Amino acid sequence: MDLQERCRLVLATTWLLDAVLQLQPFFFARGASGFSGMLKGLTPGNPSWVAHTLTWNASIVGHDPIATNSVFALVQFLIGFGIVWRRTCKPALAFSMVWALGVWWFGEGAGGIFHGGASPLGGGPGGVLFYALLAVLLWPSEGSDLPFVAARALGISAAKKVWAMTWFVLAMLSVVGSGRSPQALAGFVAILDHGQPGWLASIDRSSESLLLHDGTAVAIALACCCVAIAVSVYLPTNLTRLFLVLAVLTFSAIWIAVQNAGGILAGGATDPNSGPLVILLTLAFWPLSEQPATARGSIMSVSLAATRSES
Amino acid sequence: MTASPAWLYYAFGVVMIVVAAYGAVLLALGVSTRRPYGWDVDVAHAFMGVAMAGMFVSGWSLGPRDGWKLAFAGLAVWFLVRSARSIRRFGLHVPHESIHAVMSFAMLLMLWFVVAPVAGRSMSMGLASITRIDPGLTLVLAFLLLGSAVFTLASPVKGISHHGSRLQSAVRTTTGADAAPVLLSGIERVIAAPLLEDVSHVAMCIAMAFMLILMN
Repeated sequence: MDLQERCRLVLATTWLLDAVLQLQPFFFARGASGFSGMLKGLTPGNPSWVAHTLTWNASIVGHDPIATNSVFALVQFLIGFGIVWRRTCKPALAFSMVWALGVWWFGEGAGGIFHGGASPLGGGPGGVLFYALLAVLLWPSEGSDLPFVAARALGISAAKKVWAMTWFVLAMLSVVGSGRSPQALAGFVAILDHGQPGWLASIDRSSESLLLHDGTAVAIALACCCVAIAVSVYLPTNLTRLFLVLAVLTFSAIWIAVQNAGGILAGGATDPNSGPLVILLTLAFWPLSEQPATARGSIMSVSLAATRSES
Repeated sequence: MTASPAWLYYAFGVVMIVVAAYGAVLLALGVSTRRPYGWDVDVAHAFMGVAMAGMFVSGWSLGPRDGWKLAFAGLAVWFLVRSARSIRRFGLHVPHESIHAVMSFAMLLMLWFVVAPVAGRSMSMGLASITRIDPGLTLVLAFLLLGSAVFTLASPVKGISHHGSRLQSAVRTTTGADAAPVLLSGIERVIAAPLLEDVSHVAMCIAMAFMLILMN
């Protein structure tokens, strides 16, 4: 089992988590307190042509929430299991891209990018887009995982361009629209802090106050950080690794302190939001240098042996 | 909170009964063929299947809750010890027993924090309001279980969820026993097929992850 396959299996695990989350009682409920109500709640602020598609989707879900939600969960189970098996991996990944884009538009209101509410702090431009991006970058292909896993599917140059573009977009979204507004940023946390466990509510109070008083500064700092991470893949390997660690730490902190683990801990979330997927994306770009081949080989062989021999 | 459709809980309950029955059959087969490995996983799956079915459908719950707690505490300790032994014997790796320890621990948590089901209703319908377990812990456990399901299915070694290949090869070298149970008839070979064993483990992992998520 190579590193690309392992990354794909982590992606498949996330799809299965989404499928299980979709089976929560909230999503089977009718009316405003159910899934359709949640979808309708995304319409304010969006242009009418986006809001209309959301309302259309909400009406379908509202008409028969049990059937539609069962189908949604089943599709995610199929994608998750499809990625696991080699024979069905490519169709499942291809379908996951289509599904992710559909969910992004009809279920997330295009991630809020049309009303300026797509700050990466809140999960912008939409956590589900990262599923599609990872499906492209982890597309099964022959060859080596060197110099980094994502290069295997697209080639080094194209993969680096995708990385840079992704992080430049995140940088831009950090400082446009409500991304640079202290009130809106504090609002991201305030919306999610109901029903959270005590330790997370305590972290929320700190991040709310930080974002309320220094939200603009935080947004600008995040944008600078994203730009540095974007260009880091063109720097010497050690510097690249340093910035990738920065990316993992930054998005781990954002995932906990701002995204509240995607709201899963309070119930009623369909996915873990962008944090874990950005971290997986970052790991797919981790430079695997050829120099310490012996050391890496021994680590790889130990972990491969462990995986082969034990579950 | 509005309840999920009842059929969903019944479906999970039926799957759990099937997994429990399958574990019991495997255990009986293992005893009859004197298979020296995998019996502990069969016992765990049989217990977990019955206990989980009782969590999904209250009418199907069996035995005193304290008895189940004791059983799963014992299983958790057993698999932890087996994991430690495996690491000591084969060096640093993730022993397959560790996921069974995690599953036993998850069962213990669910039994510990969920009060008795409301009569005539599925226990899971009232989970959200009666649990005190930290949702962060349930999320981590659910993700581990789903990861185990995925990596088990993807593993080139079939039956890895029940036996692990290190244990099998150790048994082969020390006792001369083959990896597959010896003297099995055709139907027995089908029942004890490694792929089926993995599928039962995957079903258990998903059902348990679902129950853990319901507790959030």
